[in-house]
Formats: sequence, C-alpha cells, structure tokens
Amino acid sequence: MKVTPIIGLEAHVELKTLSKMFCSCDASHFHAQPNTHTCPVCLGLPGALPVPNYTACEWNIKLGLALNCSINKYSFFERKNYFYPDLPKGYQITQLQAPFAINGYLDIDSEHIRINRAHMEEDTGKSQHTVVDMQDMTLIDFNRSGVPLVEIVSEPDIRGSAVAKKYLIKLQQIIRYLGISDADIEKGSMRCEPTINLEIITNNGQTIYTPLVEIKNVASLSGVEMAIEYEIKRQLLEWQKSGIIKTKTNKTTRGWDANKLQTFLQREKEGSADYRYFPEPDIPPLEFTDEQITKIKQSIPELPDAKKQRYIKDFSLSDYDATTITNDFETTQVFENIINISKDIKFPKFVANLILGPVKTYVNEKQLNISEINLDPSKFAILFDQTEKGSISMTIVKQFIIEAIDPKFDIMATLQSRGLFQVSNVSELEEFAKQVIDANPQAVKDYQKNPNSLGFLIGQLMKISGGAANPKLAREILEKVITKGLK
Amino acid sequence: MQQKISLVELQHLSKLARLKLTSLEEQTYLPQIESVLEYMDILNETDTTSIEPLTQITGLKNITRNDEIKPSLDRSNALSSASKTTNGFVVVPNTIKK
Repeated sequence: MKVTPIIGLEAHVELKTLSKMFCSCDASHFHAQPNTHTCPVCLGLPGALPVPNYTACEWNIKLGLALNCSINKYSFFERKNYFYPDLPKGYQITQLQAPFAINGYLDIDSEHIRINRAHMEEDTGKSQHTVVDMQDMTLIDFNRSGVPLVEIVSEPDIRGSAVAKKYLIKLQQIIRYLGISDADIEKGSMRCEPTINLEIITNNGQTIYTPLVEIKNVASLSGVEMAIEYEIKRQLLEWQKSGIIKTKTNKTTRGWDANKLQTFLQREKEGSADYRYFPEPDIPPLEFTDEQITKIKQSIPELPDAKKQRYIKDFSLSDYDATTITNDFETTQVFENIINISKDIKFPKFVANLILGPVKTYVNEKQLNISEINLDPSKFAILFDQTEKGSISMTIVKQFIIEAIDPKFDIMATLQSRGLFQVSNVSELEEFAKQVIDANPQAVKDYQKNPNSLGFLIGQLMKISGGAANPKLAREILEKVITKGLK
Repeated sequence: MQQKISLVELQHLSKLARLKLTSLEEQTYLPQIESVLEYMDILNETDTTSIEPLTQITGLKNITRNDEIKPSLDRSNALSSASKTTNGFVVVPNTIKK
C-alpha cells in the first residue's frame, strides 16, 4: 500500500492599509475598543454604498505579480451569500469569476507549487464565545468587518506537512518584503486553511481517494504542520475502518484543537453553489492598464530568493548565512544599511557574523526587533578595521558591538582605558615567546616530538601577556622561535 | 410539464435563507416559485448568442477611493439597532455547538 497526502492551502492575509476595504473606517482592530471602527457600510446597514480602496486593489495585484501570477486587467467583485452573525450584510464581497491575480506559482526547494488565484475580499467581524447571564453567548466586534483580505489559493500540489510549512513561510516572507501586511499567524493577520485528502494505492493496485477535509482554526505555523500530520493519520485509519472514499459531496470542515492536538468535525461542507455568488451590483468593474500594471511591477522590491543569491554571489556569504539574513526583511534592511559604509570585500561577511551571532542573541534575549536597536554602521567599521589590523580579538568585537548599541559608547577610548588592544607587535611577542620557552623546557621538548602540544605554550604566553597577545600571531611566533630560534 | 422546483429544493433554499417554513407555507410557495421559474422560460426564448454576459448596468468603471481614514460612527450610535449588547459588543446566541 502506498499513501500520498494531497494538500492544498488557502491563506488569508489582512492588508495593513490605513482604512477598510469598502469604507473609510480605520482598519486597525488589534486591541482596539470593540465596535469603535464601524459605519453603515461595514455594519451592513441598508442603503450603504461600498467603494473599493484603491491601495488595497493595487497591493493585491502587487502580491499576485510577486507570486508569478497573471493579472486580470478587467475584474469585478461578487457577493458570496451566507448567514452568520459576524457577516452583517448576509454576504461577503469577494471575487470569483475575475479575481485580480490568477495562475501563479511558488518554488519550494525542488517542489513547484502552483497558485490558483490571489483575490480581494473583506474580512468578517470577530466572534468570541462567553457566558452572559448564565447563558452561552457569542460576542461580536465589527471593527474587523470590512478589513481588506487577500486570499491566496494554492493548487493541491503539496505532498507533505514540511513542504506546507515551507510554502507558508515563503509566502509570509514575500508579503513582508512587499510591506503589505504583517502576515502574523499568531495575531491572525495571516490565517491558513489546509485542505487534505489521501491518495491510497492499495496492495492490489487500486487507487482510491479519501474524502476531502478542510482544516480551520490553525493559529501557528507548527499548528499547520501538526494538524496536517494528524489528519493524514486520521484519514488513513478512518478509511481502513469505514472504507469511505471521496465523493462530490462529502467534503467536511474540521477544526484544529491546539490543546488536544487533534482535529474535530465542525460541519458538513456546503457545496459552492450554495453561496449563490453573483456580481456585486453596487461596485462597477475595475480595469487596470498595462502601464498601471508595469508600474506596480516596478515597485516590487528585490524578493527573498533573489536577495539571497545576490548575498552569496556579491558578498561571499555562506548559503546558511544568506538564508538566515534574508528570512527576515528587517534584518536585510539593517544588514544592507551597515555594509554600505565600507567597500572592503571582507566587511559584509564580518557584519553578517555579528548580526547572526551576538546581535541576534541580544535581540532574542531582550525580545526586541532588530530594527528597534541602534546599530551604528560606523561602529561596525571601527571594529572591522581593528580586527583587520589584528589589534583586537573576536571576543572583544562580539562584546563591543553590543555595548556600542549605547550611542555614547566610545569604542576606541574604551579599548584604551580597559587595555584591550591585542599585542600584535612582533618584537614584543618574541620577547614573551622567549620567556615562555625558557620557563618550560619540558613542554618545548614535548612540542618537538608532538607539534599538537603547542597549545600549552600558547596558553602560557597568553597568561604572561595578561591575555593581550594576539593568539594567532602568538602561535606563529612560538613555532618560529622554537624551530629557528631568535634571529 | 416537468416540475421546476422540488419540495426538497425548496426546503434547502429556505434553510440557506434561514427561514422556517410550515408545511402549509411550503405548499403555498412551491407553486408560486414554480410560476416565477416558468416566467424565466419566456425570457429564455430570447436569442442572446451574440450578447456578452453583463455583470453590471451602470456603465461605470474604476470607482475607487484613496486609502484615507474618516471618522467612524459613535459606538452608541453604531450599536443602537442591536437587540442586545454588553461592554460594547453585540450579543448573539451562541454560535458554536458544544
């Protein structure tokens, strides 16, 4: 028996426009007082007229282009009809027949994941479940109602939970590079709904498909991965028990329970015809010219993959370093701002090591964002110059780049006052070497038999120099003095 | 003549419209909807082969607004038509099954 999971992902992304999709209410809703950002349009009051937010439409097209989609120059909105308390109009304005962007793809390692569409729609109000007057009730906040949402629908090209996670991370990165959304899954500005079933080739060569399941309420990337893993196992067991296979009508929706780490049946899926879509009569169609689309295309910044390749090629960064930096758009901004200060070809690698080492540790510990701390490019340059001259150790560099976050911290003065300059002066080091050799005749003999034992003598030299000797030079000089003697 | 809408379809439609129909109402509406659909047959006789599908009738296009915030409704005003509210929220019957 051969079991292959077939996974498609729907991702909803809330755009960070100032105002909502079809009205001028403030679109920010995280931690806002409930129902303070509403108006007749987003409350669905009779007679209200929705007018699309041009920026949101443009950002949808921008995302579509970044996802290698074709753009429908002629597009229009439609009404998707269903009743739910968080949907005050009784329909959601969305796109069906003519979405802004269609037929794109994302390449994840060697996997080619086709994207069916990236279309524009509006968010619903937010429900929370509670007890009022001893009764279970649902509270609705319409601040989120009408916030612009882009829905990105992949084809069922994903074959495992790991690729699903990578796809979402890449989508998230691209969205953040474009600056159109925070795409924060924990905060709900990006929401993911995997649809899964299994292709099973039985031992007698028969191919069957298990019923489709759409998973909702997944609130983290690891949740997506775990929910998919769980569902793969559950569907296989369910099929072995019941023998039920996919039909046109037996798709179901299951919720993800992040505490129990399992999915549970939410509802039998309504067929798509049940939404009774029809063109939104209140919003005239939209037409974008080739010039407008070209202009949007030109506004797309260098995306993660291209940036990573450039870092490897132009700055000789390792694949790992380039990947780690380009994973986060803000880190790339900080990195590029710093490296601009020097033309030395070794400088970017030096900066990358510091950003991915001490700086990263520091921001993680302090729970800060890298763009929130003061990383002065000139201080990186000073430390780089001193390192190149061999006058300070890497230990000092790592310590000082953090201390230098304080704008008052003077690197050169502190190196002086704390006596931290390394001794790289050859005659001084030769003098130290001579003292060490004289004091440790046995260790010198050991070294002559076994060159690996030099560490002890280097240690002694570092000790008498008060830790100030340049360890690399100390090694070279010790070797030279022992084998050739002083000139 | 073939029936255009069955009782099952009517019940499905009323479910989608959140309407609870009595069997008497069902028997009243079924022929009424039937006659509406029959009227559509008359429209269907029109030859539309050379006519593009129409998605709107105003002839307008590209009616958009700039991304600018304007003041929202005062909350008490916004909530004034809700049948029940608490702490600034609209209260509705529980939507999740336990």
